[in-house]
Amino acid sequence: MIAVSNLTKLYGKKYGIKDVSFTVKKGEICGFVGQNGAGKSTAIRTLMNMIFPTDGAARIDGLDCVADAKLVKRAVGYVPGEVAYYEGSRVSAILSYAAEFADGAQKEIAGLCEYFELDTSRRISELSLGNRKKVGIVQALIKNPRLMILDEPTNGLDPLIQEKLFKLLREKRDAGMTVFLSSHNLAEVEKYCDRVLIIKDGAIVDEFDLNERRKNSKLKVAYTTADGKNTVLSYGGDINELLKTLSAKKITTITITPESLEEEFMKYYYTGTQGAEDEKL
Amino acid sequence: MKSFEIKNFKSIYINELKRRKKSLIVWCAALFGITALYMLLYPMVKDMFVTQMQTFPPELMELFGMSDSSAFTDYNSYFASIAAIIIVIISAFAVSLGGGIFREEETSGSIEFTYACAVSRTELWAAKTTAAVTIVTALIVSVTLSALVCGAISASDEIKSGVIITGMLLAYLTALLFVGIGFFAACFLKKSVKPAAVGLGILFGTYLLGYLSSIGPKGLEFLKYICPFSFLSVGDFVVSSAGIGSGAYGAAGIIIAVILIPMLVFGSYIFYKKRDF
Repeated sequence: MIAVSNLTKLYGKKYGIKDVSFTVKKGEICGFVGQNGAGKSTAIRTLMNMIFPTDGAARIDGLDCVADAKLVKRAVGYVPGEVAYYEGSRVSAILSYAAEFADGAQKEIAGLCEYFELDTSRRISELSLGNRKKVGIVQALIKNPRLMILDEPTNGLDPLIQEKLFKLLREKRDAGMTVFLSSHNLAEVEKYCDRVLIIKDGAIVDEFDLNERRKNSKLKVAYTTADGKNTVLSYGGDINELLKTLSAKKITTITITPESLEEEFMKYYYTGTQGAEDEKL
Repeated sequence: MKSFEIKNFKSIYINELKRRKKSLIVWCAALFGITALYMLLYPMVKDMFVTQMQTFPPELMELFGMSDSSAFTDYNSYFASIAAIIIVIISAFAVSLGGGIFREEETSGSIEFTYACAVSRTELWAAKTTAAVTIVTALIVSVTLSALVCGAISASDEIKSGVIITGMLLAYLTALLFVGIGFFAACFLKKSVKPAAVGLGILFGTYLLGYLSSIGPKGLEFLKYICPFSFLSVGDFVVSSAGIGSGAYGAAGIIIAVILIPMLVFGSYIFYKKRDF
């Protein structure tokens, strides 16, 4: 659905993104994770033709994001990181205006506003960050897009609405829609995404198939031995073997928990060294 | 899919006008009112005006775009003197509007909403420029109507509608030139540079150069062709149409405007198509 190849964006002499290449398959929820300034929004804004790439190309559903920008946007629902509208306008006016550019969108407004508990009679200037985000989500969904691109979608949303959003996105995904979302909420990415791309310093550094990882989940073992040494390790083998090995050590405290992918993502948030020290058992 | 659809153009155009509806009404009403206030006073101040004008130093007259005080003895000439100031006000509004209509969406971030809709940059550009030109046209029409209505009320024997309308067409060209400067500045300059500030700088800079051309030595006369208020002077037109002053109104100013306006407008399109929002 999305094919990005060697995408580069220079701001003056500084790289926003450098030689970024990745693909997002049809019908998957793909997360896009990285530090602030890693290049997530730059990549997303390039896909939406808000900014022009310095080099490389991006295609959505076979369409070039620059040459076919208008067609691309017909297929894509976009929720920006910072949702901004005309301050004096009412929510109903904003949504009706957005619906003018997509066939059949007008009839979707009422149902989606009800689902997200959005009061359409209020002015944009009166809305909280979360409610503005809801307007952004509804505005993106009313055109029944084939692809949803969401930049920090849950920022400002209360947990109930976050849950509802992902429930709806998963339903839409099951019906064939593709979802590409950037987020700092690693637990949310781990919980809902099928795949995740990690971007660091403007380049893709890793990717995980989360469905695969869920099937082969590992254990996080943290223990302290009698000599005061702390050890944290990741274990994916036979649990009985693990217990046998551990019983040979003089352990004073131990915790064994299912390994969270969130912790694995976290290492990409640290600069230089990794956050946790892994050890082979 | 076409890069230009009338339906999309219409939606964006109407939205731009709707958003500026209140400001447009206030500006039109204010300009109509100010013009009317001055023009309805004409019968009362006529004699005083002529006397006063004759006592003004020529340099001061030039500052207000009036080069020949002997001509300002009728309603049309009186209107030209008022129009000289009103044109500066409309032009300042026009250059700010031309810059703002493109930039405010980038500054506020609402462009991420507008341009996420299935619209092309051509449609956005065309609708925004057309909306700005519509607003400037409405302001010029307000002043023209006010002058004509008040002339009919207060000086029906002196008013020459043709002179006033043609004079205001020159004012319209001036305003279009400045709205064009606003468009170009907004689309060409980096985000960190405010187009309205640059546009207003150009406006007042050229105004002073025009003034310098009229009071300075002969060698500086060419500066007149840098200042739209001078090369499209309503005052000079009224004077020449009354058969007073330096002769027929030169067409050079109109030619400059007719060349510059499309250059600025289409130049803005070229840069808008390539611009990072």
